[in-house]
Amino acid sequence: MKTPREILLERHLAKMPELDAFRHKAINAELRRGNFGAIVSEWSSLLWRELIWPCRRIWAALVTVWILIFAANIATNGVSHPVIAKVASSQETIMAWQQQQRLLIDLTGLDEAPTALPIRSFTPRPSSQRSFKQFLT
Amino acid sequence: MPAMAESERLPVQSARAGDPDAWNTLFRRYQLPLYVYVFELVRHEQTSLDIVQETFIAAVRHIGTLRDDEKFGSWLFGIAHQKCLQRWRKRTEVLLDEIHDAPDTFEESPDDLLIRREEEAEFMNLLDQLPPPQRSVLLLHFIEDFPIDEIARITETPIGTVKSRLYYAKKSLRRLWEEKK
Repeated sequence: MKTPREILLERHLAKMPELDAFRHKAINAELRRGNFGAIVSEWSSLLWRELIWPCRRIWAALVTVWILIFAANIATNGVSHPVIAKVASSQETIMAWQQQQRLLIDLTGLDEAPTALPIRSFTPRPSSQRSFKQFLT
Repeated sequence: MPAMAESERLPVQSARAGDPDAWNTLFRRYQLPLYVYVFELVRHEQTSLDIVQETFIAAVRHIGTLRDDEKFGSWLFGIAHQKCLQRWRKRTEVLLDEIHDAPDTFEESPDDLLIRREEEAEFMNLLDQLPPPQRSVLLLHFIEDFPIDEIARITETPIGTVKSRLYYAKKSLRRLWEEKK
C-alpha cells in the first residue's frame, strides 16, 4: 500500500538525471551572473562615493558646460566648417609668414637676394709622374 | 506534516547569501515534487522540464522577495504555478473557477488515502479526469501536504475557493473510485 505522494513521485523518478542537470545549470549560471552583478554594483558605488560625490559641484558645473556646448552645437544646425576654417587658417599663416620675412629683410638690411658664389674654373693639372712602384716604396 | 518540519532545516538563509551549496540542497529537495506537480498540470515532459528550470532561475533571482524562510517550499511552488498559468494562457486554455461552497472543516491528511499497487494506474487515471483547478490543489495537498492557506497563496486564490476545490476534488475522486469498483 502506498500514499498518493509515493505513487506520484515514483512515477517520475526517471526524470531525476535531467532535473539534476537543470539544477546545476541554473545554479552555476545565475550565481555567476549574480557575482558579476555584485562586482559591477560595488565598483559603481565606489566610483560614486570617492570620485563623483565629493566634487559634486564641480561635476555639476562641468555637466552644465557640456550641455551648453552640446546645445550650441545643435543650434548651429549641425553645419560644420572645419575645412573652411582650415583653409582660412593656412592662408593667414602664409600671409603672416610673408610679413615676417619682409620684416626680417628690413631689419638685416639685405634688400637683395644673396648672390651666388662665382664658379671656380677647373684647369687640369699634369698628372703625377711617379709610378705605382715608387708610391709603394 | 513531514515536508513542513523538514523545511525548517533548509538552508534558506545561506541561499540568500548566494551560497551555491545551499541552493543545491534546496533544489535537490524540491526538484522532483516540483516536476511532478508541473507535469500533472501541463502533461508535457519538455514543457514541464522547461518550467522547472525557469522556476529555479526565478527563485535564485528573486529570493529577496521571500519574506518567510519557512515558506520557501510554497514560494517555489507558487513560482512554478504562475509559470504553468502563463503556458496555459499562451495555449488560450482557461482555468475554470468553481463557485461552490465547501464545508469549513477539512482536516484529512493525504496519507489517509492508501492505494494498492494494482490500483496505482487507476488512481492516476482518475486524477487525470479532474478539472485542472481541482487537480492543482489536490496535487499540492498530496505531494507536499501544504496547508490550505499556503495552497491559497501558491494558486493565488481565496482560501474559501481552495477549500471548495479540495473538497470537491476529493469527493469526485472517491466517487470515480467507487464507480470503478
